[in-house]
Amino acid sequence: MAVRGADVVAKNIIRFGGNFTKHVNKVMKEVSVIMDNQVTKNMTLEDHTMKELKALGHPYAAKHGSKGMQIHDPYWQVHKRSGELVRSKERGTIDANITFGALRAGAFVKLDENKAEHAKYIIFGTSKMIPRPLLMGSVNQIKNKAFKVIKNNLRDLTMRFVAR
Amino acid sequence: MIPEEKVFEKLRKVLIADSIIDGYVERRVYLDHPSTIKEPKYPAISFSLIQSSADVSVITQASMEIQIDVWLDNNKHTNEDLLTIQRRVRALLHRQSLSDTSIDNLIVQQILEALVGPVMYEQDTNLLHLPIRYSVVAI
Repeated sequence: MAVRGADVVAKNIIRFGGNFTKHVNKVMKEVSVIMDNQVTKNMTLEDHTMKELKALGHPYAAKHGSKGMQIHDPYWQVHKRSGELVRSKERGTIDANITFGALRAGAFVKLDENKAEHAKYIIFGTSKMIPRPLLMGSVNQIKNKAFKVIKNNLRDLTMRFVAR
Repeated sequence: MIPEEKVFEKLRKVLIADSIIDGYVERRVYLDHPSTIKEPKYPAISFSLIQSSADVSVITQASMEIQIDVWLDNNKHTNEDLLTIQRRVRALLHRQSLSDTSIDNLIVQQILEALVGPVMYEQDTNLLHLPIRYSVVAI
């Protein structure tokens, strides 16, 4: 996520003094919590047991089409099993820095494949299973909410929001 | 045809015309996930639509995220081959002009390589797999 606008950045730095970047980091932390909550919600479904999913004919199998059987909306949501995937989730921020008049700061949620090796197979799919863009989809769901938080807290800055 | 179908047709047309891609997968560039194809053969490239949304003001325009999967036989190829194909696909598609009047007046306004996923290995099929995501805006 990048926040641009040299003049307003300079104006805010003067207004906030040394606390300006601290304030940006605080806002980014708030955004990371919003993202984390949404990702958690989307990866902990408990409405079907493994037995039920098997009886349904493995709804995430790609043979059912590019979105599987779509037993949920959105189709890419993930059921909670052992809890390993949730435990592999990490959130954080990239500290604000100002280079050539542009302010850059970031918030992220990621899955650590050292803790859950199967995470990459869920996100990108296999030759038999559809890809499920859990992280990107979750960020898209909360994009407007996060944008509002940033705008309310860092008003007067021009903003560019990039979800990856 | 809807923009997503037109884009997939165009991407296939571009990829199968390239000698380097052809050297790896011949004409096996599937318009859908290989598991939807009866007896898919590998090596191959396939397309999946990850998400798509129509533009409110231009109803025929769609912004989409697609996944291009490269599938290679682990006995015959290496991770380096996957990356060679990824670089070739990038050279052919990323920021290229891909409009094509012969495919229902397709206009590709933007195509960008968004993400190169991890190299993966599937033990049961002995396949190497590299997913690549592209963001596309097309009419």
